[in-house]
Amino acid sequence: MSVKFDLLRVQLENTIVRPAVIAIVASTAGDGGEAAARGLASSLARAGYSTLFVDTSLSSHNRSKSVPSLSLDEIGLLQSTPDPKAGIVAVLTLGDLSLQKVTSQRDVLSAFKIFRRKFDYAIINAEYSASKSFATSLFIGADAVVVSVRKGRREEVNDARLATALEGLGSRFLGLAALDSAVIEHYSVATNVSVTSDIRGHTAQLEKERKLRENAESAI
Amino acid sequence: MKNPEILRFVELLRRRWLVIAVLWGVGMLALPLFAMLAPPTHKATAELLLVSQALKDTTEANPDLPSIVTSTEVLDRVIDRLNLNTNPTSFAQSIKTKSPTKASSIEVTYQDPDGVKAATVANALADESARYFHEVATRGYAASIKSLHEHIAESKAEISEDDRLLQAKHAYASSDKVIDDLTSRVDGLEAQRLGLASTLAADRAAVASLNWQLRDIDPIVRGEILTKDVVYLQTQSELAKDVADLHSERASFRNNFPGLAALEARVESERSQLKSLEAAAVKDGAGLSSSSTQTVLDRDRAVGAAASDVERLRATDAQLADERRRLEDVAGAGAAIGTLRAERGAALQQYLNLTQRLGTTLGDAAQAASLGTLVVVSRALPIPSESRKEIVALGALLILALAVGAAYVLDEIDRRLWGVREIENLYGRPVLIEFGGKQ
Repeated sequence: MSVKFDLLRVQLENTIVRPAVIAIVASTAGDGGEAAARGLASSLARAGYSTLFVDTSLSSHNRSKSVPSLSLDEIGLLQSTPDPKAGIVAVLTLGDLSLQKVTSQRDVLSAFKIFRRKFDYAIINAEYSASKSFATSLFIGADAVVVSVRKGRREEVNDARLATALEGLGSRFLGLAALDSAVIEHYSVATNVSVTSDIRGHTAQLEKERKLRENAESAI
Repeated sequence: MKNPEILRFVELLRRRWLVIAVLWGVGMLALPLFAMLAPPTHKATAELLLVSQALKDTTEANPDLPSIVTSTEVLDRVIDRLNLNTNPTSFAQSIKTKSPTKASSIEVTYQDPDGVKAATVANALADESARYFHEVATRGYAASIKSLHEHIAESKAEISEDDRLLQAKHAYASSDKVIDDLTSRVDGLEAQRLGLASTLAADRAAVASLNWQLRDIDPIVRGEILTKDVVYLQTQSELAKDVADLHSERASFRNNFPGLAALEARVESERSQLKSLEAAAVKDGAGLSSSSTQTVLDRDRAVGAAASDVERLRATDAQLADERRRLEDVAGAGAAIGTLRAERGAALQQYLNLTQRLGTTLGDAAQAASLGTLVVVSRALPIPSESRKEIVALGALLILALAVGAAYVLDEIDRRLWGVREIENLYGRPVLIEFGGKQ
């Protein structure tokens, strides 16, 4: 299964410029948005990119207690020396629907700025049916948007609404990821294993590397 | 590369296999019952082929064979021929024709619960169609050809009669010997007639001479005869005596003697008797002298010879007239042959004209028949019974097709996002990755 996410990752590498925030949007819960985001984040991490997975799915709220996660404020303080080949990825959970609904567009854009500054790629999943305003804020601020659809489900009204909302994105709306139930179930659980608890060192190392790169570029 | 439509069909089978299986199972359960209840239907097919020179010309359009098979004329003929209890309209509904495009053959299929009847009707349809097609193709020429044949036969008979007459005339007139014989016979007869005429003249002269001679000797003859007839003489004397008495009595007692009338009657009677006696005596000639008798005999012989001459002359004249007529016929034979030859020439010319017209008409008929000839190349065979297994087998296939069709329709009205196509259509963007289904 990871091979297919690698293919998606390659397409993104060739399409968008780092650092980038990629929104994986699902029109409804269970459409595989979280699984696609996890799979893509895992593939990016294994490829050596500093990656942040922002899990906004409501179902991940409980899992966040068992999986180490960072608050938005903590991201800027992360210090670590991660192993690029270890498949380390930072995880930020935002599974609070109330919080999502009160998060403004400005806050989202501010957070994305931090993400771009700290990581090569930030992968954010969003459920359009849960909070249309939050999801819209996410894919408006994102550099690229991929819609996740579960095969075999019935067509719903939110599909048409989401499609209409995405029309204004132009080329930033890259395409679709069609997932079946087995893939969704697998990535909802298994990818958690690859998430390291040493996220702080990982992000600090990434930040250090980024500064060195910027200094070198400015010297040139 | 796999055909997307095939992949979609396979996906449809995979997705809707349960629907297909259920529908097919239900259909298979109902099929035997339907096969048992449905009345058996038999189809019989005959095949017709259009054989035509015109078919070699690809620019020629084929005639509308199905229209001929299902024409009212053909249907009426078949109904009359087989005594079918139907009408052309309902009859046509049981007939199916199949004619491939630009093909010169046609299949005629008739459907009936009775297999034998189906074959019989199908064959009758094929036969009558072929016959009617031929009639349509050559209509208008058959009567002309028949009439020409009749006229040609009459002309041939006339020529044969003229030939026979000419042959007879030739046989009659071709030999000069016939003419010579006839001429010599006529000449002989004319000479014979001249001889007879001279003989007759001589005989008549002899008769006249003898008659003159007998007239001169007649009183003598009478005298000779009557003077030797005693009875005659006695009667004559009595007559003379009575006549004398009569005169005497008449003179003296004419008015007073009552027996005078009787006496006169007696006298008359005796005169009559005397005449009779005279005639008998003369005829008998008993008292005639030998010289007178010889003269009379000579006269009678001369009269007989003259009569014989007349008869012979008359016969000779008749024979001569016959020979002359025959000779005239021989002389007119040449003219008759010429006339016959002229008549035969006219008849021959008429015969040639008729044969030419017949050839032209046959050519026109052949050209008209360029539509071709419709022949029955395959006859329907009587089918006593039709296996229900075939019905079940066909039904199973049909039900399977219907089940797949139903699954297809169900899939069309199902709004679920089964595949890439539906998802891409929904969002208007390509699917970057797909999980499941193709793995």
